[in-house]
Amino acid sequence: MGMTTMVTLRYEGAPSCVDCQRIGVPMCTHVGFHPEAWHVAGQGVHVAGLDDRYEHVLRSAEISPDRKTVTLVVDTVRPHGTDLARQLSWRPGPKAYIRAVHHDTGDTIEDGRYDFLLQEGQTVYHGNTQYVVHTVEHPARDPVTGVADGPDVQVATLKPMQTDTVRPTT
Amino acid sequence: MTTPTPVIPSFTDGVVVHQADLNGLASNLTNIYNYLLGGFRTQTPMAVINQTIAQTIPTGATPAAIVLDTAVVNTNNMWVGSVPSQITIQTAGTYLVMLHVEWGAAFSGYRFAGVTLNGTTIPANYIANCPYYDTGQVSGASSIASCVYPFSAGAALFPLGGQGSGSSQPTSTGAALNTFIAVCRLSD
Repeated sequence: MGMTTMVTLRYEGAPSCVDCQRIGVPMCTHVGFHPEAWHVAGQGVHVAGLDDRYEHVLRSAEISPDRKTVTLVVDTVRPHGTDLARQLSWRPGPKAYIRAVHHDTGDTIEDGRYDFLLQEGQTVYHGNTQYVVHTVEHPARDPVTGVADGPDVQVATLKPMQTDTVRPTT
Repeated sequence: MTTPTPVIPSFTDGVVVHQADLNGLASNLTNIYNYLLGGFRTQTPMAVINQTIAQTIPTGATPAAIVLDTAVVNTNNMWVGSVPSQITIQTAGTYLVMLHVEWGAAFSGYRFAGVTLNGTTIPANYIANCPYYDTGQVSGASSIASCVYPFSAGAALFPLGGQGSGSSQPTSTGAALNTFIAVCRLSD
């Protein structure tokens, strides 16, 4: 599962090519976007404004009738990583109780059981949102013995990763 | 350190073999010989973490987390001094785990050692534990808990020890290995 971005590219050049200009034609269809050049659906693409740390795949390209605008539909593939929203286990045995909390709001992002504990500095996902584990605490553990009397919940504070996915205005 | 992979040239039937191909083959055979002499091999994830500073274990059914302080073996960085009572599995696989708690005094009453996984709650998180009851036990007696278990990357192990003598008891130190935990990856 990835994200979909609509990217609009505009031709900002002269309304006619140099050959047409030479003979006085003010507007021609020799310039702008040509359909023949956009049969690249399924290819990986790089578009200004899309984060180049991720893989972007062109799903479709739609060219306007005047050939001055092309609209790209780009699917962004999320790299492999731990997704806290998917509590999948493939190992037997006791699971770790983890409560993931948003660093800025204090809201609980996820309460789950996993095959592992989180470590500070680790990168994780929740759905399509990427976070870094800021701090981890075990509030249920006795400060003297280090052992929990009851569920040993790890409270992990997550900070959202800053990514530039906004296409800069021209 | 991973074992470097030598590049072995291939030969095509009917094509003349040149000096460079034969020299390359000889060079790679020499490299293989040197690798074997040098003992290059992928290091097995393994940790042997010792306790050199005696710890006082309170009495009661609730154990205490064993505080370790010295890494004897620590490939794969499974233990860090800032989190002394935790082993974190970095490479998924099936591991042999052994906890050895050595008691520093003679006391009567039960004593036990256990290893928990992904939390310190007993008995829910136990994967290995060894309780027993003794009277008049001599100093230096040990509690040993061990298991072979599959772990995911990021799984955390916690060594625990407890006793029911009625008063706090120290662990023993002074030997090369006293109270320690050993974790060794056996297979994928």
